[in-house]
Formats: sequence, structure tokens, C-alpha cells
Amino acid sequence: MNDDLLLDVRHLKAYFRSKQRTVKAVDDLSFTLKKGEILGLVGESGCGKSTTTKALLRLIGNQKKEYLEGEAFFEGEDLIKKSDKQMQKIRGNKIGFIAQNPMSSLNPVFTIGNQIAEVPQMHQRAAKNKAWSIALKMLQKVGISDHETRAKQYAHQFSGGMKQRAVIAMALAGNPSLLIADEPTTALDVTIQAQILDLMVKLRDETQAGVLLITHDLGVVAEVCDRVAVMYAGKIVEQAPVDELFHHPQHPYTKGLLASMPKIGSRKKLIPISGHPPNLYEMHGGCLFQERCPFAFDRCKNVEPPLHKIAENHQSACHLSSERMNSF
Amino acid sequence: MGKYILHRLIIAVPILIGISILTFFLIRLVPGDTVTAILGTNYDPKLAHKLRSEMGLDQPVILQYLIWIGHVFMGDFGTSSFTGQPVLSALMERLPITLELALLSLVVALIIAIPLGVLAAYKHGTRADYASGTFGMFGISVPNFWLGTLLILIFSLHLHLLPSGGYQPLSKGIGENLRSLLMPVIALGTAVAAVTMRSTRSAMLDVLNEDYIKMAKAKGASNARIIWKHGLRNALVPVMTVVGIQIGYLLGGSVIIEQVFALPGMGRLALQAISNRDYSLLQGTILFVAVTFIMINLIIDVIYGWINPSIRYK
Repeated sequence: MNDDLLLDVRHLKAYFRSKQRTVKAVDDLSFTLKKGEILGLVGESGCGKSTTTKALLRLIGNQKKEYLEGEAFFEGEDLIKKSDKQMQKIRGNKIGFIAQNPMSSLNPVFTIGNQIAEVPQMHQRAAKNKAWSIALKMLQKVGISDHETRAKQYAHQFSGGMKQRAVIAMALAGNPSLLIADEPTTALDVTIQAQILDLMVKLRDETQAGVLLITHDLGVVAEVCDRVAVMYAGKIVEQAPVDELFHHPQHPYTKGLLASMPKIGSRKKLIPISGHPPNLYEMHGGCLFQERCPFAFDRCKNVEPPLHKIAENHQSACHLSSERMNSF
Repeated sequence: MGKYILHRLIIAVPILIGISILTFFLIRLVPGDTVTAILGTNYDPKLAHKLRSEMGLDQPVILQYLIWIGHVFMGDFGTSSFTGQPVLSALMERLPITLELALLSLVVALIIAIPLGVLAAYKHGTRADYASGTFGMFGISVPNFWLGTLLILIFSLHLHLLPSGGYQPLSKGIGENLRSLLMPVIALGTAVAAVTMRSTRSAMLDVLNEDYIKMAKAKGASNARIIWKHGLRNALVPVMTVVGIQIGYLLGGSVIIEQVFALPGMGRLALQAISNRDYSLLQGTILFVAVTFIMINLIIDVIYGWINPSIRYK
């Protein structure tokens, strides 16, 4: 096995079952993440991005109606097979989680320092003052000025950007080798977004942690990611290094996403992707994107296109791109 | 914080004056007065007239009030027109009993209700949840005097385990003291426990859906830590408000419970004062109960600020 490989997800499935139906939120997802790499997981709302993070952290899969299958090797160990007790030792310790909404992710009744210090207290059994000094160090690391005073303050005394920095400090306090960031900048102002993204890149450079960055924002992807996986309806439809994906998108969905993104200086009208994402509980055979795809043809209706290698490091799940490859 | 408490105490003064005005005039609306109550069947108009002028009851009501409140401000609550005992010393004798009954009921209720509410929320939709829900319904629906009577029937008359009534002061030993208050506390506290349990459950259910709970889980916190550390303190914020309201119920309910268990507290004193038309005694009693209510609520507000740091008292 590759030494650099940090996370190897294979055929991950996360279904939600109710009496009437099964929602396949994540369906047969496979991807890898190397040490020190930032992988962007992109897709529109409801495509299963967040469910993927929750599945990896095993925040789902513990109830009857939640069904989890597949493998997710993290540092050689399968996360999906771990018990909840074992996962408690991994969460916050080896895997840091940066939540989507910093405004509500901090506990309002404890000081920020207390919440960060809790991480080394739980995972390293650090004494109170040791944990507190770690908390101070983390706050300093994420660029909070006057961190000694700030550590004693509460969430309501922090601005949005500072809250997200505090959440990042919390995620880093266990010195994790994998950071999972679920839309870390969505709730923030654009100017603050850039600061937070810079911070994440800087921290990645320092710690050499792998980062799984969940986002729907292609601008964010272009700015910080090394590699991108595009998700659609619970599956990865295209995967490539970031430059390759932006310059040579293969899958019609990726092309659609790029065409619907505004570009500075361009007066061209934005082209939306017509239609809606499919219902995740009434999926039929064939390509999931066929109904919205301008290039769909007969085979798309019947045969689901597999994720196909079309170039070094570039995969796409489209009959067209695989055909083009074959014709070469 | 000191400033805030002072501020609250100053605000309490007009509230208390308002309460005193209400009681003063309301009791005078009741037919009959002190004199008719004292004389009873030996009523003699001449004697009555003499007594009334001695007591100042022949003066205009407003003047009577001003004289009384003026004395109160100087710490003189007058004397009971029935027993001749100074009102203040009568109140001081009775207040500790009511306070002990109310506070003990509150503490016992909270100790039972909060863990039960947390458990019901954590196990919501299970049998434990339904069982505590049933207890909640029972506690809210059952009248306290009925529960008190039932307890006396079972534990005093049939099982001879506990005294059916009467108060044993602390000077007779804490065991005796608690034995005499056990049933009153259960009778009075059950409803408080039920209401608190239900509000704890719903507050905890809300809190457990919050993002910071998911965050705590993602940090690797154990379930126990998530519930008792991250969850409970947040859930207590709305619960404390409910508890503050319950104080009024406890003080009001003690009037009935003291009657059922023959406890010589403020409630019994107030009832006595009403039936005797013992004006100064009644006014003093109500004023004391109001002060107690305000003070306990102030304490709860201070605790509230400690639980929830985003509330800054200025």
C-alpha cells in the first residue's frame, strides 16, 4: 500500500430507510486522500456531501434506519467496522471536524478556551492547565489576537469569522492527521471566507494533515484544493486534479457547473443546468444525470456509466468520455 | 452583579407597595370586620363602636392605609387584633416552617425531575420516556390536597410509619424534623417535579438537536459527557424560568398543605387571619410571602445568569 495514502474509501454506501422507501444518500462512493492533500468534494445541495462526512465520522450508521456499507480505510484501519467506543477515540483526535455552521457549533455556556481544552483533556488525558495551554496555543495558531483574553470569552462575544477560527482550533487541538471540513466558509462573509481558506492551506502546510473539503462553491475549490471529486446524486461523477478539472471538464454535469459559475470580466450570460436533481428514493437504472443532460443518448437510459479512467489521475462517469477514450 | 441585585431590590419596593394596597383594600371588601369577628355572637353596637374607634377602624380607609404603611416603613407591623401578639414576632415564628417546606419541596422536586427529564429526552420514544410522561401527567393532574390526604391515609393511618401532621422543629433533631415534613414535601413537590420534568425533557430534546451537540460528538465526547456537560447546562436555561414560576405555586400551595398536615406555617396564619378579619396580621403575612417570592426569584435569576453567560446583568 502507498505510504502516503491517508484515507481510502471504497464502495461507501449510506442509506436512510423508512417504512416506505430507502433514500440512497451516498451510493457506492470511492475515493482516496493522500497526506497533505486537499481534496474538494463538490456538488449541489442534497447530493450526499455532508452524509459522506457523517458516514466517515460514523455520526450516522448507529440507528436502525441508517444503513452503512463499504470500507473506509483511515491509516490502514476500516472506520466502518469500528465500534462507537473506538470511534470516540478517533473523532476529534485523529480526525478533526470543522462544522458547517460556526454560529451554532460552539456551545454558548462554556468559554471558548474550555471547549478547545476539552479535546486534549479527553484524548490525551491532559491535566487542566496543560490542556488550557494547548487551547491557548491553538487559538494563537488560528490567528486569534489577544488569545489569552479571548480564551476566557464565550461564543456570543466572538464574530462569525472568529467563531470559525475557534472551531478550526478545536478541530486541530487533537493534532489530527485528517481534517474534514464541511462547508467551512458557507456561513461567512466573502472577505472572511478568503481568510479562513488561507488559514486552512497554511495549517495544512504546517501539519501535513490531509483535508477533505466539502463545498458547493467552485471558487473555493479553485483557490485551495489539489484535487476535486464532483458528486451528483450520491455518486462521484468526475475526479481530477483541480487544474485539469477546470480546464478539461469531461462530465456534462461538471461542464454545467462550470458554465453556471460567474467569471470576473466576462459579460456572457450564465447557463444554468436545467431540471432538478433526481429524487434519491426513486432512482431507475442508467445514468443519474440523463434527464438533465443535453448529450444523453440511448445507452444512458439503460446502462449506468462506471467511473472511468480517461487520463492519468482523471476519471469520469460518462459514456461519452469513455467512448471518446476508446475511439483514440 | 451587585449593582444588578441592588437594582432588583429597588424595583421590588413599588411591587410590594402595590401588593400591600391590594391586600389592604381587598380584605376590607369582605363583609364583617375585626370587631364583628371578636365579638361574634355577643355583638353589641355600642361596644363595637368603641372598639372600632380604639383600633382606628372608624377613620377613612385611605388614612388607615397611610398610617399602616407608614408604620411598616419604620419596621412596625402592628399587633394582631385577635391575640395581641406583635405581627412581626408571629411572622418570624411561622416563616421558617413555610420556607423549609417550600424549599425542601423545591429541592426534592428538582433532584427527581431534572435527571428524569434528561433521561426521558435521551431515551425519547422508549418505555422510559412514556413512563416518565405518565408520571408527568399524574403529577400535574392530581390535586395536592388529595395527594396529601391519600398519603396520610396510607402512611399514617394504615402503616403507622409517619406522623399524620404537626411540625417538629429542627431543635428536636433533624430526623424528627424531616419525618414531619416528608409527606407534606411529597404532596407539595409532586406537581413541581412533574412540570419541571416535562420542561427539562422538551428543553433537552431541543438542545440535543443543536449543532454544538453534534460538534461535541465530532470532538470525540462520550454520550455521558455530551448529555451531562454539553446538553444539561444549556437545557437548564429555559428550565430555570419554569422553576421561577413554580415558586409562586409552592408558596400558594403551602397554604393548603399546611392545613392538610396541620403545620403552623405562614399559610395557616394567613387563613386564620382571614377568618378572624385580623387585618394587620393578614397584611403582614401577605407582605412577607411577597418578599419571600421576590427574594427566591432574585436568587433564581442570579443562578440563571451563572448558567447562561450570554445574559449580562447590568
